[in-house]
Amino acid sequence: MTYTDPAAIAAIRDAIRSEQNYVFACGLAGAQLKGGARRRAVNQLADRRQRIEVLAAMIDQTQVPSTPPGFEPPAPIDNARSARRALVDLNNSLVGTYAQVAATTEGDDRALAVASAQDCARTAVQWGGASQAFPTAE
Amino acid sequence: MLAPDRRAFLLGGIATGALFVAGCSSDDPEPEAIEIEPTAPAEPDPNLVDEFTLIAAYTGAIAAFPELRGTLTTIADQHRAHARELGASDADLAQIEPIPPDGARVRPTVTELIKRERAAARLRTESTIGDVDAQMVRSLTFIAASEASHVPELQDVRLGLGGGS
Repeated sequence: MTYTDPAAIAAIRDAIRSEQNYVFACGLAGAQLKGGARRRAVNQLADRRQRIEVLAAMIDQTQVPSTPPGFEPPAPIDNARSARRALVDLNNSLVGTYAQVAATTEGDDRALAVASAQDCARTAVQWGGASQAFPTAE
Repeated sequence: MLAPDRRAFLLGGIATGALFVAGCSSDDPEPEAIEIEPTAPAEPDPNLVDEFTLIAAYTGAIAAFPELRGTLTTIADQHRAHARELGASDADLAQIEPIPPDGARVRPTVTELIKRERAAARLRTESTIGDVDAQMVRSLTFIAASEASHVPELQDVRLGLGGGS
């Protein structure tokens, strides 16, 4: 469905922007990672782009934020350790973003938001973060 | 652990087959009795009952296998935080009794905890679909995400045990 409720639109736009940043971060992190970790980052690029498309379909196309030209990570991504740390934090931060999407949407869209929040929390642990009772960026 | 009917008492109210008697003096005319329809006991919150069960399972596993204390205590504490978010009091949490693991082997115990976490994450997800309260949906989404993240942590613990345990 296409949401017209301003709170839902705001939450979905926020999720799109956050996922766009995550895509950029995967690219930056991938350059610092090797082997299986690099492959995982590359695979996540495709997964998250697909998720952006699904989110974009929930709102009027005029409301969809355009892809920014670049992304300034909160902390420099200049080695494998900082790359993993950035991906942990961005994923944990996305849990709250998706919780807001879940709270403002319904039905299958809410289920997708919850599943995305779960995937982000799981992915944060797979990048080396510790689980949290209420996941958030540290 | 609290029995389900105990939780129904704590969380859902009491079935009241009350009899209201008007007047109390012996000089008063025959008291008029008004029978109040008993109310059905409210269903216990399945998510809260499930959090109690998870805490009990972790507590039992930690008691049986102290070598797992580190990670399992951290996760059990997170389930306590979830239970508080869902309305549990410290007194409720203090009454939870450990569920001992089925066997004496550590690896199947961790596998069982993984299964419990997966089931919990599913239950939380299903609950968000029916819940209309936005704040509760937010809380359940956070909890569902946290529980999903316990699975890879427990898989790491199991990996560290090797195949012989």
